[in-house]
Amino acid sequence: MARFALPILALLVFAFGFQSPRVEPVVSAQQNLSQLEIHESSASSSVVGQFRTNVTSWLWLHTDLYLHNGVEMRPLTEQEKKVGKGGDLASDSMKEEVRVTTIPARESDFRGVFGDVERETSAYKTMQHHSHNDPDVTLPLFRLMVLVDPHFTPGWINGAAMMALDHVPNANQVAVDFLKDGLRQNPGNVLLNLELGGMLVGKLRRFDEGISALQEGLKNVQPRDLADEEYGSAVEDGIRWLALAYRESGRPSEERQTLEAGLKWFPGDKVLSGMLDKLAK
Amino acid sequence: MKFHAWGALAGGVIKESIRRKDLWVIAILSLVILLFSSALGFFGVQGLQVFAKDLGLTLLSVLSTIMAALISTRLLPDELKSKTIYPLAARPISRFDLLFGKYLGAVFATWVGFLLLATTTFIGLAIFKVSFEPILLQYLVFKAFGLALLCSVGMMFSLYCTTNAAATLTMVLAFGGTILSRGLTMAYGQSAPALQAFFKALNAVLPQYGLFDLGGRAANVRWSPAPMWVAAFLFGYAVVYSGFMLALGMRKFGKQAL
Repeated sequence: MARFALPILALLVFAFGFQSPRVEPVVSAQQNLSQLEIHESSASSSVVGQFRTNVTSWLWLHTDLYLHNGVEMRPLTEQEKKVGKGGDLASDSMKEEVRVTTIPARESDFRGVFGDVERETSAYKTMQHHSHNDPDVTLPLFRLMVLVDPHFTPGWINGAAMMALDHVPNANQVAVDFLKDGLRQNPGNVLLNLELGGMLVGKLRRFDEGISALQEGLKNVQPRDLADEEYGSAVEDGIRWLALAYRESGRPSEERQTLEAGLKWFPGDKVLSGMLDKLAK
Repeated sequence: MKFHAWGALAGGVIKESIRRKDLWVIAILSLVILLFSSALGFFGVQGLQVFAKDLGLTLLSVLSTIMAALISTRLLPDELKSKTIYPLAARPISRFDLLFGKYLGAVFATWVGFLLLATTTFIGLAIFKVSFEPILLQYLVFKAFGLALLCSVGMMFSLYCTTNAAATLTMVLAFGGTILSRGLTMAYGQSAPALQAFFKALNAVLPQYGLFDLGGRAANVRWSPAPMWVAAFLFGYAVVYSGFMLALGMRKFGKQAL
């Protein structure tokens, strides 16, 4: 009898298997190859994409290097922070992060004459209260990086900001055109729309165009993404620009709606609440 | 001093370099540099002078370093392997003369290749309307000192290990030396006194090849050339360090059974 137990058990398990629901519809993803991005379905595209991203990141790092005329900087290590080492960039308005020069200053370099020679042969200078190179030295790099990777949003945004600082009469218009190029490559991009809207309202005072761009940007905001500091800050600024544009265009009811909607996302924003108070008076 | 013998040996290395088509490889690499420059121009991005200069000098530095490592590390092992060292050893020259003559040959062959690459790089940079500044001349001179130092390191390693291992070690020291030096300076302040002494010793022993590279200054704007005392120091350092490396190499080569 015992020798039949195992086959009977196996048959029962097999029979029970027929009773279970079909697995296929549950685990099979409702997706086919046409719904995948090209880099998800093609190994060569994925490799090209990685290369593109690496080149873009490398160019991104070089913009900072060229702004500092080749002087390499680095963040403080955890150990250096623990012992309270100060940075060289306390007065740098472009970077909030405390950084030091990669080649150490004479007083903190144990290498003696080798250190002295390195400071004479490399791009080194004391970076406390330092100045930056003209931003136009970085403009070609921004153009090159968005040429290499048109989906690199920071390249479009920072490139436009640098272009607006350029010493040409139509610098703001050049920056706006650059952002519009970016939007053609990335339709509906929230950050690009908000940056474009801010520039149109704040620098060019073209309120109707600015309102359209800001509305387009805010329409696509995902509230769950507001936790990201950079994204949240861009959205907050966008709401402020939109409210201002409505005020300047004489559209108080839309200004109120924008401010109230903005305060739901950013209840502690003193600028938005101040504007709302002013509107109520 | 056997200048005649050293000259003949060095000339032999250069002739061999031509026969082995090393210079063809350099010419092809030069063509790559030119094509790369043209490709950047093709994109039509204006104002890339600083970037092009930075990229060109970096490429020149990397290629010349690889060239120095490969030329210097294969000279003596090849002679030993093909037994062509016997006719040389039968001549009335000492083993030191043989080693030094080969070293001079490696240095001259590297310099010829470096100058070819530099010429192409500067032609490429001229496409971007980058003018030739005095600091670029100093870059060339300092780099030539550095390559001479690197050849001595490569030659020394080639006498203690296989050609491939020697080339790898030379390149690791050339490319990783600066990174290691950065690491030592970063860690020094937070390290125990015993470790600090070790860091100092290690830094003194490592070849300071990175000091000879003015690329960071030359690529950017408004940097003045390095003062004369720096040029004198680097020349002296290259001579002393190369002498030390050749002495180390001679220690092995002098006792080697042929």
